[in-house]
Amino acid sequence: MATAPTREADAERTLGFDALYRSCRDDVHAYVAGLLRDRHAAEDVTALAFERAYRRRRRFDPRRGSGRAWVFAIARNAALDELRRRKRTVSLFDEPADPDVAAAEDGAEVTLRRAALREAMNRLDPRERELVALRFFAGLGHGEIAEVLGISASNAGTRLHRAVDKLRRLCDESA
Amino acid sequence: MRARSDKPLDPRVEHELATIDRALGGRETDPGDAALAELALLLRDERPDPEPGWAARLDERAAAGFPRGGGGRGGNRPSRRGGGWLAPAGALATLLLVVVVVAVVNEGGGTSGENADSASSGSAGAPTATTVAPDAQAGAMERGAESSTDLHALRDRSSADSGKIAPGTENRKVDRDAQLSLSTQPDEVRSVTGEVISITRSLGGVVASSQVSETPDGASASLRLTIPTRNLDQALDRMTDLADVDSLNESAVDITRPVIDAKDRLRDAEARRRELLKALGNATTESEADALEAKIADARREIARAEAAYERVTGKARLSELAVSVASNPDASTHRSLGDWLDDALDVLRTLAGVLLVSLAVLVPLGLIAALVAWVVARFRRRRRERALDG
Repeated sequence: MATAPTREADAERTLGFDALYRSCRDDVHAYVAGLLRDRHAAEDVTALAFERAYRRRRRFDPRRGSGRAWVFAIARNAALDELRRRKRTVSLFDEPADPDVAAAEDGAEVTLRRAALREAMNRLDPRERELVALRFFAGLGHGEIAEVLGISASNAGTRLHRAVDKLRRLCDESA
Repeated sequence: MRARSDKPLDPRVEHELATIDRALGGRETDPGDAALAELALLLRDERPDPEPGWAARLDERAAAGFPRGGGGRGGNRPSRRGGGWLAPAGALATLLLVVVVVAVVNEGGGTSGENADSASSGSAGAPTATTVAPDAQAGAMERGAESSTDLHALRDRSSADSGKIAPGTENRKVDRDAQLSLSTQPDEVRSVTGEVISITRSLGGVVASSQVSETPDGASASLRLTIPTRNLDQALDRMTDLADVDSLNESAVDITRPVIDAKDRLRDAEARRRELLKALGNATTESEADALEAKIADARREIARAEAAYERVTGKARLSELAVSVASNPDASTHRSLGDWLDDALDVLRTLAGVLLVSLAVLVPLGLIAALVAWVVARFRRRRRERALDG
């Protein structure tokens, strides 16, 4: 008698998780990769984050925030644990996928700007780089960033603004 | 995960964040913000994309519900589960709770067991003949009770008969003693003995001697108790509830006269000493004084004897000797009435309430400590994680 509603609820949660997974997978990966600057570690941590989220999906409380912010918070914890454990400094931006292709597509001026941007990114401190990854790689608004970091939205906005400001200055210096 | 309470953003910050939003959303921006918009788009283009092979493997795992035990890259790293310390901590807390509850329950029910042990000291296992010497005195009331069903009538008659000895005057001094013979099921002799001792102590009495004999054929116990006379009736009431009463003999001797005599003797001796002291003061010769001092010494000894006699006789009025024997009898009734069942039910409820109270008394502090530890651990882990972003 009681199993039918439970199964339905499980199915609903599973469907909800599936949708969340599909909408977040690449964004979470992009954020983690931006934070860790290690493509392989980013893949492992992203997978671990989704596995944890799946195992804890019954504990998710929509009243405490969006599912997307919840998954990003889990991914952040996993990424910070990984960062602390590995202490790697392999730069994602030092190893562009295919610079020749980028140069051919964008032209020399844009290539130079990209190079300056990557150099500037490398000079950001990890907290600033995390904000940039959350906003520009994962596409989170500053309200969602606030949820992930556990700070106020205005604080998140201010920190993001300062990070972007610093990035602009560093780009100008590089140029 | 929840964002904290908010304050309004600085207008310039808000404007630039809005510019970034518009640029990323593909909407037009102010010409003055072109550089910022371009930076936003360049940053977005730097987004790392996952390798298709890895994404496909992770999709498969997600579709399968992230089965455990996978290996290799692509999200199959064994999950590192947090909170591993919780299981041993919970086990430890449970063990502690069980130990405390058992200890408290044992302590609560330990009175009779302790008394049973003390009752058995001296002759454990050794067959001993139980004899309760009849202590009938002249003028004593003496009788036997046929069965436990006459118990309360017996006690009522006993009290009434005692009253006849010293009718209607509170100043009467009565020396009361009693002999009580109980019989119970063989396996209940020890517990009944323990209860007798427990009752004695609860009423301010002492156990002068106790013997418990256990043989393959059965068990028996004999006790000599000294109980304040004012509590003797209550003691007998409670003890006769413990098992079948084979006999109950009570003796009551009016010792008002001996008490008065002892008091008079003491008073006379003291008066005699005072007179002698006075005469000594008036003595004119040394030989007369010596003779008086010798008499004073005699008077002092007489006072001591009179005091001892007075104490002895008043002591008899204050304290009663009670001899209790407990015999095993397989035919004895289980001695259970509706009241007994209700008492047992009440005891069970009381014990349950006690266990619940003790459990709460243990669990609440443990819960608070666990919550505090969990909070501290969470804070510590959060700070440790955040430190990964430093430097």
